Amino acid sequence: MIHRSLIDRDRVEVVDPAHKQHVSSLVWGSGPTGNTLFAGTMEDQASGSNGHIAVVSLRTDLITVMDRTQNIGEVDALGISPQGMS
Amino acid sequence: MLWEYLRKVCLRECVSYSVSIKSSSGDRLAACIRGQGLPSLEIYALDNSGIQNSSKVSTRSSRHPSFDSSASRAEPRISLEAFDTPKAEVSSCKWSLCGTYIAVGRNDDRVDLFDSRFIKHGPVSRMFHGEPIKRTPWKSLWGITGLEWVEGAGNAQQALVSGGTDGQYYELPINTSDVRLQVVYDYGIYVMLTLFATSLPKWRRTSGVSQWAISANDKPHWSCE
Repeated sequence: MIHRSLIDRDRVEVVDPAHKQHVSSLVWGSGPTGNTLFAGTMEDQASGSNGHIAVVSLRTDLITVMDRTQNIGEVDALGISPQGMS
Repeated sequence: MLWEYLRKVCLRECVSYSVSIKSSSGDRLAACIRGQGLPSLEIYALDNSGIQNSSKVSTRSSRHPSFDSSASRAEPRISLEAFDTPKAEVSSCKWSLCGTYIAVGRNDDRVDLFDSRFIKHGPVSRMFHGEPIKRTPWKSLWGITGLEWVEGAGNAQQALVSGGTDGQYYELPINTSDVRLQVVYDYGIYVMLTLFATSLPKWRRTSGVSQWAISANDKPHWSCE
């Protein structure tokens, strides 16, 4: 769960609440479209859920999960490349 | 003398780190994944334009970075060397300031350095923490606790600094303007590996650093014993 602040409405779930997945890694990205947070999650062996990476968009009025990968396994660490490098 | 050197590095890093924060919004995301089989390092392409590549975006067409999920897996992808123990994991993954290298720190004391342009060829440099003194003998895994790239370290343009729970930190200076380093990539893999090995810098170890971190206000803090 990502909290922008302690205000309860400013939060978004990056995992299915039914699955006991934990966020294992976080990394910030800041581009022309605004702040973005990438969250990697661990897997939940009990429910058979693999981890994934969620893209969380943080704007002044809204926090949303813009995208997420398919189940990819347990995400240990994330790293964002410098801008303009490809 | 050590402290004086660290202080100089920190002062330089105060400037360089603020720059790296400003530009830390690239188009690729490196992810260290553990699943069935070997752990892996995967590079995801981030789509900043969204609309132009909307057919490749897995969810809504947006102006925000999205995963190029036209394939179920990221490309390129490489398997990392297996961990020695089940509890081991990757603790840190950091791109270099130039956007070329990816450093992967693991809590089995290993740091692997990959060239993002030739990631499938495996690590271009590897080093281990842990010798010769165990500062935390009750832990079976000392582990890499942090990786940071710093700018202007000595004669090198940038350097990778790794800190570990063995109470030591190592640095790997890299000069990306090294002509040999650039030229050899234009020739075959075998030539590249041979010449690359001769031009790779050596890891340097320094004792006495018990912990280190980047504080919230972007100012590096080093703690020396």
